[in-house]
Amino acid sequence: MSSTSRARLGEEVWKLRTDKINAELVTLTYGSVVAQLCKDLDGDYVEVNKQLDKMGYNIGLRLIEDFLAKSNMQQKCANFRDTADVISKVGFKMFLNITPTIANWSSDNKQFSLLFDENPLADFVELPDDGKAQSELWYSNMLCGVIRGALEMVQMSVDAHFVSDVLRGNDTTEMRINLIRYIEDEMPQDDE
Amino acid sequence: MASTPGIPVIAIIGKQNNPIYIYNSRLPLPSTSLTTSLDLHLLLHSTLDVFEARLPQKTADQDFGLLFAIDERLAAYGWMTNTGVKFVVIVDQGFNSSSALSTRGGGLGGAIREADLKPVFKSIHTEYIKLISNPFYDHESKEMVKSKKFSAALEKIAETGIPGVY
Repeated sequence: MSSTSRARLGEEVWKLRTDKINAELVTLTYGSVVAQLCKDLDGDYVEVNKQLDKMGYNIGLRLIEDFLAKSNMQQKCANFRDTADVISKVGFKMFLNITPTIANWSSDNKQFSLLFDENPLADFVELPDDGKAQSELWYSNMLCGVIRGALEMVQMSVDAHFVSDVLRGNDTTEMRINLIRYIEDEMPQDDE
Repeated sequence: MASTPGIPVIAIIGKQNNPIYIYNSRLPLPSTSLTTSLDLHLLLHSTLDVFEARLPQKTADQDFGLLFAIDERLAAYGWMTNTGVKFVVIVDQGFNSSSALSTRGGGLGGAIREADLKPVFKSIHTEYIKLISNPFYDHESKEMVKSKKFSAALEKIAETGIPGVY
């Protein structure tokens, strides 16, 4: 399946097979989750990142099923480059109606970056001005967990983390995804 | 000669009449009674009385129009959302054109119509919504807002002035 037909597939799934929800509702819901975590954990942003990632992981485990059902992907991705393309053009398109740009491939084709031109989760957000949040909190860290969880269910063990965020004053929002290995056999699931 | 009446001051005042944000671009304003920030606060306090006095007659409309004229150049206009948050805009009609009053032939507050302020208040309202939608915004806080995004947005609104007015 070519890259353009994936883009078309993403568009089609978004238009025809996705139940829509009001954008502000999503933004405010995600925002209150993050803000409440920050409050409950007393501004320990490293821990907040971890919790967000964990929540995302649990979402990813379930979301992949929905993704496969709705997208009707007929064949497996041949390589990791294909996977990246599907994540961006079909996955993000159908769940958030965005298509992050794929960039910065490593030479061994095992690492790439997703560049988010827009991020519906982070509309309206301004990080707290406490001298810490700007350097420690990855506001949209749940997305990393989602990707990690979803790929794990299709036999890929990956590491995903943000390396820059416009909320912190960076020029771009960039997530780095690193393929650790393909999981060969059914392994007992990581109990998180 | 066309000119845009300036907006030197935009104030956001909370439900409890607590100041939320006060934008002022160029105090002291030349040849007016508004010279220090103390004057400004006093003035904003007096607008609250007008809001309160007119409230019983208000319908659902949020536009309070001209609150009062301050002097030959300045006039205060008000807007109150249905949640009790008030926006006050002070308009400087002498800004950019000394002939603004004579060309429109109006007296105080005559050079611009109240409807002209509507788009200005609408955009302030939009920015205010964005501000309070920030999940880290503290609604219980009695402190003034420090958001840089919000300040920048208000500054832009003030600099744009009132479009389409001569």
